[in-house]
Amino acid sequence: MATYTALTGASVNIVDAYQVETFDFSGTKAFDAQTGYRSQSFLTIPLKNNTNQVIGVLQLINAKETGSGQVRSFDQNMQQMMESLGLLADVALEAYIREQKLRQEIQQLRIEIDKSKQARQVNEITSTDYFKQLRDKADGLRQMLKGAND
Amino acid sequence: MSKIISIHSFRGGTGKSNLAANMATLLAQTGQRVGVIDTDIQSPGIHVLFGLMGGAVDHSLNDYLWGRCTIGQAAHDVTASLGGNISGQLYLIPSSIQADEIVNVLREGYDVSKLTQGFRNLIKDLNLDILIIDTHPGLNEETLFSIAISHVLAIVMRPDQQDYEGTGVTVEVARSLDVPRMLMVVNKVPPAFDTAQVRTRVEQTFNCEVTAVLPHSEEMMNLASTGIFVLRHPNHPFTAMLKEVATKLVA
Repeated sequence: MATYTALTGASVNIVDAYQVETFDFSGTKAFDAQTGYRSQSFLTIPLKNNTNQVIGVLQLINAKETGSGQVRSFDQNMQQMMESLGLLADVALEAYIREQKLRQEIQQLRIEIDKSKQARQVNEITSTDYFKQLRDKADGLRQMLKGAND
Repeated sequence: MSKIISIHSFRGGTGKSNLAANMATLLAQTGQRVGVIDTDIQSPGIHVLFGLMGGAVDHSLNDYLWGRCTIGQAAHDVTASLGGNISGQLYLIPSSIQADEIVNVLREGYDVSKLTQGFRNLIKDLNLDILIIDTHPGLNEETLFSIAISHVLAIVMRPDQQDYEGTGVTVEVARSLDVPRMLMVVNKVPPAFDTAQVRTRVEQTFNCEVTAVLPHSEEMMNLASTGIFVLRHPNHPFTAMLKEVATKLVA
């Protein structure tokens, strides 16, 4: 059913999974058998990006009565409300996808340096008279300044 | 004993001046007597961060060097602008040591010892523990001089391809000058970058200690150099990071 929603972009509202034949709930039934859960009502909503493509599916299982906690169906109001909330989930999901993509791109932080070009550029500076004079005096100057306030 | 710390970057816009101003402030707050020399008043400089507008800057280090004023006149005591009880002292010395002026100096037969004398008097007369030089970006005679006389060189860069090449040259040139301690600060790092990976890659590439990998900060951007971040946001996590950098700078 989630696949159906993903492919068609249509919401699906099922009152009782064990009472329908239009969808294959064998997976759900197997899960129930293993866990002792009883899946009943399903509301499946598509999550769409800003170009109306389905990027995810939100599925809610077993709506419950507030007081008794008894499982009930998802009524029209609930479906509309969930579809609205789905819009928020859309934004969150899109942001997450964008972030992941960016992380992948940055994974390989590349620092490209042309070593021979660098050596040339360094040499252009270190071979000047000014630089050579500076280098010769540098340590003396540093010592002098270190003790300037003694 | 005093320490000269140069804060340098190859390109502009790395956040160097903001870093220098915040470092100076933090160190003054710990009781140090700190001087900050801005050697780049062509672009909005460190004096803006301390609220000193153009008109208030009457004498520069240059004026002192050429005998046009005393060192006291060139040093602006901005300690009061830091607010609160500051146990240290902070002096701002605006400067216009331009490359062409240095060339003139050399042409007229003076050598860099003369310039060093100026710095020496500055440290002596103000009894400075720390002198921070906020250098002009790039490599020219003036910035080479600043780097050469420094005890600590902090190179600030952004994780941006345009910074890597020039920073590489700077690191190697500084090594040739035997700078006693050289470290890097990677600044304005986008949130999607893995900080640990940035640190490792930069350390490996430049073979230099990376003292901090600082994230791009919205609040810093919003402050827009109208003030000192650590004073405006004393409890911000970014301030905690800057405090760590300050501690490591003088370690």
